[in-house]
Amino acid sequence: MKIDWSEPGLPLSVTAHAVLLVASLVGLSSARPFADAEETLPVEIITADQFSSMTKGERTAKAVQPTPKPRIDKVAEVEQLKPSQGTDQKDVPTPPARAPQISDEVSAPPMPPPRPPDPVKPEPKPEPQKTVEPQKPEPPKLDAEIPKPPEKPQPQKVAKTQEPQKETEKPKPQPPQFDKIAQLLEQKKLEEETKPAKPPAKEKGEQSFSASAIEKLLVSKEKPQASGSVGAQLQKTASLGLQTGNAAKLSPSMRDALAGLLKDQVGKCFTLPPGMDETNIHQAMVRVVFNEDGSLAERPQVASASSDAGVRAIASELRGAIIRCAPYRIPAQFLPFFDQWKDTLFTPPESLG
Amino acid sequence: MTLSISRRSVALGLAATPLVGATARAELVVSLDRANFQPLPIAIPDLQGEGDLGARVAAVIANDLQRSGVFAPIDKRAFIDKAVSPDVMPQFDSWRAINAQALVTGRVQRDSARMHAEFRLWDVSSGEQATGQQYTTDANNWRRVAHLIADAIYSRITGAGGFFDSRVVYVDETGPKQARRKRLALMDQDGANVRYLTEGNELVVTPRFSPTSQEVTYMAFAPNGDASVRLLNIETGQREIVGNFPGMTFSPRFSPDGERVVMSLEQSGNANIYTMDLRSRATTRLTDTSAIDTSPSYSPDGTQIVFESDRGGAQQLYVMGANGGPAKRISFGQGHYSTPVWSPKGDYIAFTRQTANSFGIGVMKPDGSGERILTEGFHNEGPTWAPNGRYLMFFRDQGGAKIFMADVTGRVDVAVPTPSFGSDPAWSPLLA
Repeated sequence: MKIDWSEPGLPLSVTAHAVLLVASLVGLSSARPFADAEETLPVEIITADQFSSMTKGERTAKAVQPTPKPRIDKVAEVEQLKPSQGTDQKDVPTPPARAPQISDEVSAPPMPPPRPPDPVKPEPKPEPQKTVEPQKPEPPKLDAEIPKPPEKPQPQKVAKTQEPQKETEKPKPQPPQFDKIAQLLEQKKLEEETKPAKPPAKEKGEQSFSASAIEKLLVSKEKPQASGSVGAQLQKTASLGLQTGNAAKLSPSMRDALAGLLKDQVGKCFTLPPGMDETNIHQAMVRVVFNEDGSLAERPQVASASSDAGVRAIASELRGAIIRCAPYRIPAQFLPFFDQWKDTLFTPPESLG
Repeated sequence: MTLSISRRSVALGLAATPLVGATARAELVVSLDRANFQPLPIAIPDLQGEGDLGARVAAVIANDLQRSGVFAPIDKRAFIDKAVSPDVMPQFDSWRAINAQALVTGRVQRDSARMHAEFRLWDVSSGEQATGQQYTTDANNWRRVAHLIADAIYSRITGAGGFFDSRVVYVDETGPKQARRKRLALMDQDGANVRYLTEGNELVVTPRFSPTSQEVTYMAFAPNGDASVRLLNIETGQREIVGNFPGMTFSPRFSPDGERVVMSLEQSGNANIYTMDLRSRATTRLTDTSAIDTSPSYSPDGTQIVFESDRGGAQQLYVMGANGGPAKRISFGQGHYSTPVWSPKGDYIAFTRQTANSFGIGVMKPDGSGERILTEGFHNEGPTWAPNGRYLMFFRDQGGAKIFMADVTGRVDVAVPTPSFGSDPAWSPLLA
């Protein structure tokens, strides 16, 4: 091929293009490929407030209570210990520590030594037997055992051995109120801490490991220590949430799912006779009010104000279909959002095809 | 035949659909994406009335509604409640039990001169009345009352206008094929009340109704072979020849205002479109080509004319202004297009399309788009529109012509009963 240098255009152009091509192939080959498209996840952003109001109440409760209250398992014990005589408790001298010389007969359940001094405890007279008197009257079930003659040997049962003490307690010269108050207080403490019977050999203050004690604990059918939440009034029924909380709205995906469920169910009944005038079909909407169980709360209404006969005709058919297919199955997961689907609008297809 | 009807539209009860204000802020919107088509199951028990009058009226209503393809009347033998008074609320449960979605109750009463009729249409699903009407008419017009009731029911359910209270003029053909006697005949759209308008001495074709008067225009061949457009007054029987044209005139139609007749005039081997004013008898030529332009039809607003022409080769459809001028071709499919008819609603043009081995009746939009063939077979021809623009009658020649009815969706195709063979049907406007 002869190159005509007076007209270098074509060969120059070809050369230049070739050079450019080669240069770009070489120079750009090291470019990094794009990262693969990652699978996207639907994400919804809520504030901490929304989260806490979403999670109010108890998940396992059955329904939203009209007036949600916190759960209360046990009525608080009424404080009976009002000093009826207006006694200033401070005046009462603190009792001495428990007398360690507890006779075997008595073998009172040992008291843990570092007890805060009970201000209401009356000062016991120096009568060893008497000091032991704060064997409080046992709880009613044990009181029943009092009539038993004290001579009966009952060394194993600690509780029973306390009974003779009760007899001796009776002719107490001490003022009755203090006596009673002291007894009640002691009884309370006893209950709380010494419920499980401990072997008499146990000295007070000793916290040695005792297998038999633990075994007795395990088989004990007495009430567990934990008393549960305490309050003024029993409230056994927990609330599923708040009646008027600011719960988060139905997420878009849940909204679509619910709309799809309703669409399928109504679709089964939605038949149209051929020949309907579909000019303004988009106006033929029907408003529905649901009950929580998916039934219709009231007769559905045509939602559009159009007086077009074709719109009215199609809306009538849609309304009839909604009525025929009621009640509707609404899965339980949508129940907490009842407020957001209670009022639903059904629209016809865009064209009858 | 004079018909006097007074209709007292008393709303016998509440309308079924109280209109709530604009879409009051529903939280959730459910959009249906399709509907299943199924004729509406409707129960039409005998109307109350003397003798079997109520039963006859109910039968005409049921027949009308069934032929429309929109309704599926439930067999009377399945009814749990046999007799329902129009004055009480029906026991909807016994109608739901037979899967009725609509129920008609009513009464017909006749005294010496007049007939009174009333009906209620109930929506069984919601238990509400959908519509109700009262009618008073001549005592021997019980069929018309049935058609009026059927129209009211049809309109309420579909939102479209009714068409049952109308008549059809056609060419009745009797006798052997070589010697067919053709007479103009008039009947109710369901085939009842047949009446002959001509004697059969002349060959008659393509009758058409006037939209405003009791007149029919048609073409007849005189015994001497002259063919001309005629006018016939149905009530008086009076006939006349339209215009005094030097050549053969054919394919006549009225203008929407009833004042003019448009037709085709053949001259020297080609044919052009002319109009004639019926009062002044003035004629106007609209096309001027060497082709055969024929079968003109006005648009319902009277501003345009669609016609058939072979100016481009094969017969095709063209649209031009009602006063003539340039014509635009609108048909482009395979085959020959003929007999175009503009629907009374203006949204469709029906036509006959002929291909190598079949004839089809079809519709297209006035700009030529959306062409659909509704029925195909050997020798379907000559569509005519029902007053509501949703149904067509045409004739089908299967060894003898018979008239059939179809709808624009192509779902309906039913025979129209005629005593003998029949062709060239033309549908009247609504009678009331």
